[in-house]
Amino acid sequence: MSAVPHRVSPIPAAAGIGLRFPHHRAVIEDKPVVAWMEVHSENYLGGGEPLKALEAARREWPISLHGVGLSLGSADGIDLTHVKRLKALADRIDAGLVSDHLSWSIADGAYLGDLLPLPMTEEALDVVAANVARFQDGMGRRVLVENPSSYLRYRHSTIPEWEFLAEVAKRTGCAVLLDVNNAYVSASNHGWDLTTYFDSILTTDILEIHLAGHSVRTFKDRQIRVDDHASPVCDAVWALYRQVVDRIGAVPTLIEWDNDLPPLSRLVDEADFAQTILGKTADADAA
Amino acid sequence: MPTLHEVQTSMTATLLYGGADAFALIVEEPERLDIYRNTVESVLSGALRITFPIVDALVGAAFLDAAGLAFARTYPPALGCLNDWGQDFPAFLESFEPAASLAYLPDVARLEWAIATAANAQDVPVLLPENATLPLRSHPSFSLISVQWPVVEIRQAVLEDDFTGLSLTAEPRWLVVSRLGEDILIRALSSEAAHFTQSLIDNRNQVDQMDQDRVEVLAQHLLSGCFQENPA
Repeated sequence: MSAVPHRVSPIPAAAGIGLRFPHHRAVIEDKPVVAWMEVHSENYLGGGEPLKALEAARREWPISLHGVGLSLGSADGIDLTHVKRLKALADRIDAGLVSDHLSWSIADGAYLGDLLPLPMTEEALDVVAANVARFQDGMGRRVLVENPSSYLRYRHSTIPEWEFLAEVAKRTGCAVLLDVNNAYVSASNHGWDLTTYFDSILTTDILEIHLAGHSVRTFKDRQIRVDDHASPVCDAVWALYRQVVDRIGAVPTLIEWDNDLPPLSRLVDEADFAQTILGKTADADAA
Repeated sequence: MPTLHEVQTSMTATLLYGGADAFALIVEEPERLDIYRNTVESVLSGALRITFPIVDALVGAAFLDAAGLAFARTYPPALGCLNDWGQDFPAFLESFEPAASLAYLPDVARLEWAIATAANAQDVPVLLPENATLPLRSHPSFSLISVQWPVVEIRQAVLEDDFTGLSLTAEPRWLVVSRLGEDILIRALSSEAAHFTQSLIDNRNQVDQMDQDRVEVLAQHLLSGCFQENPA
């Protein structure tokens, strides 16, 4: 593969948006004023029209690759052919960042299509660390691992999620993609203390932040927050985001919206709001 | 303490196959697993809906969801790239009892898989007519399919929502699907042209067998991006 000509490479410490298929045309025609874009890697592993659209976007914006299919938590390991395909794509578009999730999706030869929770055990920690190391070796670069949202806990878990992820980063040298909405959703569902969560996570090298919407549903007379990426970022998550950037400074921040996709301008409005928060931080740093 | 592999096997049994294996593993009530099960089912059937939109339109959402789940339980995707999943769906539909009355459905799915294959194929350089030499290697976007039903006409009727004049007559039909640039090309072949095409793909063809009809078939294939550039 030959790399597409482009203007800039690194992902700036500014607000970007997730690029989804229904917005391909609008993005190319309208050229929205956002700092960068991110796509789901697995949607562009082939050629043809999707890749052509991605390359057109790449000529205008830095692009980050966010994977949903590698299954970094699989006991069976990760598929190195999949990694090769990801590397070819990353090389082709000169991806600014490459990430995947602290979760699993593949077991016994079946890909389940969801980001499933891991038992937080020493064995799982060894498995994830080994898989992340293979991922980084295969990509020839440092990758980011994202904290998940979750709706259940395993009885035999022994390590808090925030310590688990920090330890993965420590062992492998990977960076962390901090999804503030995921942290809020999981903490709400499990009664976690977010101060403890962030005190631990913010000691890692956070190279990207995700913001998204979630819904509230009732299960067995109990309210559960579900990370469905189908609505605006809620006020509580914006407040947490302000706290995070106050502590660690400006970080590339993505607005994720995957379901019930609104017009492109709505995503740009959300990114603009994130940018005002990042801008204040940058102004404070400059002063 | 269960191993990670045991946990993942139990979760797969519960989320994909509907078993109760994972109930004892979790702190919360078993219904909490439904959040994940709903996502697993909707993501997998949604992937099939994207790859097989005409089948979806013909049978409706509820039917496709049921067929998709049954298919996923029989032929689950092996890897986390759902664009690559669905090759076995046409054959699965042939044995899917609820679809038995829709004899044309597997053939419609065959055409849609060929179209998806063409759309998602890697951007490999196409062999230009002026560079053509034997042996010929099919382009990743190329498919030669054999069907019984008028699937091109069925697809067109669904896309235009106009079934006027559509005649469902079963007879042997051959179709070639390929991609040229971003355009997906679907062409009908005669039985003779199809067998000749297959011999080209299998590298069984002899140059001295190239009569005028075959030269024209080969020319159309070359102009339609059916072959990939030979290595230098």
